[in-house]
Amino acid sequence: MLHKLFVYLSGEVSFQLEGGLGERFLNSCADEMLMLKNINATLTGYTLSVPYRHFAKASKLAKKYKCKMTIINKTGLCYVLMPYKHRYGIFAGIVAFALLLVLSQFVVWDIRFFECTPMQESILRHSLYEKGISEGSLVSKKLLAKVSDELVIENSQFGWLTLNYIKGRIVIEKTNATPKPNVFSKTTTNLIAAYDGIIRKIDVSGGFLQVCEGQSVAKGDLLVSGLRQDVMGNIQKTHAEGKIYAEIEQNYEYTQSLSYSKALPINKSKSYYEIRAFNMRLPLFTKIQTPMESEQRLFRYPLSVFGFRLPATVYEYEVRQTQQTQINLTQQQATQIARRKVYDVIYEGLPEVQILSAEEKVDVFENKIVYNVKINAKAEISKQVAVP
Amino acid sequence: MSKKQKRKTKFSFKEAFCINANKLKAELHLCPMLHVSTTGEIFVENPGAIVLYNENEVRLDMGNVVVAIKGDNITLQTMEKGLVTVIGRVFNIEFMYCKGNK
Repeated sequence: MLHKLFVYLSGEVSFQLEGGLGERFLNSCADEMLMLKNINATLTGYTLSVPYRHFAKASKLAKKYKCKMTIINKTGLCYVLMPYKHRYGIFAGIVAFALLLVLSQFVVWDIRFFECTPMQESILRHSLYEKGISEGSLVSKKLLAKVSDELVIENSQFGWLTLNYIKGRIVIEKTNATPKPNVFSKTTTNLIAAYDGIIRKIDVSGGFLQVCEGQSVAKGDLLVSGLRQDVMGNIQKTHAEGKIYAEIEQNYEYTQSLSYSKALPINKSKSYYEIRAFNMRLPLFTKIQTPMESEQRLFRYPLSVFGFRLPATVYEYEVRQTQQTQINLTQQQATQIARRKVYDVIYEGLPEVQILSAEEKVDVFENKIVYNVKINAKAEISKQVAVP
Repeated sequence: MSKKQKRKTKFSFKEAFCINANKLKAELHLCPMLHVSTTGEIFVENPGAIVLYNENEVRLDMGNVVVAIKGDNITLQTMEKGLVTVIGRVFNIEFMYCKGNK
């Protein structure tokens, strides 16, 4: 086996020798220290084989003794590689591939999220992209430890987070943060009314209640006090805390134009790609051309060929041309927009609101509409203020 | 005229005692030898030259004698300086003495 391997590596030439002084050729080859193998006598001469390294000398001797040499077969690695003799690119490619394999031990091929919700995955993905960790980036233990610490600090929803680098793959493991215990505050505070209304429900956990259910209160009235004087005349200080729900009436108004112009994207968009791997950037464009009115968006995704992930990330810069477009609204469309805006304000301003009734009024003008709504709602109206 | 003195050849210690491996080999192992194995191989050590070779016969000059190996499909399996391996169906081996050799 080893002998066969050696013969294959060193190469061998089988040839036929005809005419001339055959015996003298054989003797001369032996004198010249050439190694001849499998010498068979034929009717017209001999067939034999020599190692590749001796072939040149053997052919010279054959010429000397006027023998006709006909090559029968060439075997060996040297003859396999012969066609690629001057194709240095192939050898350079092999070397580059070997280097790539060595480097790929320190490169991220894939990122996996262990027991993460899709929302958490997208948050972590975005954070990792911002910190330069994506498919194709070179990582070290130090860098991963640093990034995992930063991620925990930046995202309060994670109690503990680690980036494990296992065989070219980063596996992110995390635990969700436990909610902080509600520490009782020592500051003296009052609860006052944020809106006018009639109190419907009281849920107070601290302080001295100053109102009762069914009582009407005005904006700024004291609901729960943080101070009280006892029978001895001493002032007791406490932290007023709780929720007071009241039935309130509020008016909201919103003016919506019937026609306005806005820069909207049109169909003309162009993508520019950039591949990032081994902490290097390979832009597939010369320059990003941005028209006067355009918006640019960045998409990042791992490079894959036929579903096989490669250690590289594709950065796609999408430049989308925009155009100032005149938008004409019907009265109904304008009313719907105004209604949505008003209700956004209501739900944002009034916590835990429950709308009991609403009276709408729409005034139409030449270029605009004015949307009025009067709501009767049950909402939490207490507002905490510090006692001076 | 003074008689020109013949210059004596100087030998080193190694040469004198044939300590040099090549020299030792040359002294001890350069005589032609014939080994016949029962597997059908004939090893010829230090043959002088091939005198004749065809598919039925190979004649090897061994110095004092010429050895003729006769048979069918006589093949020289390997041939290098100092060793020839002959295989095939060998019928007889003849030793032909040159004129004057006993």
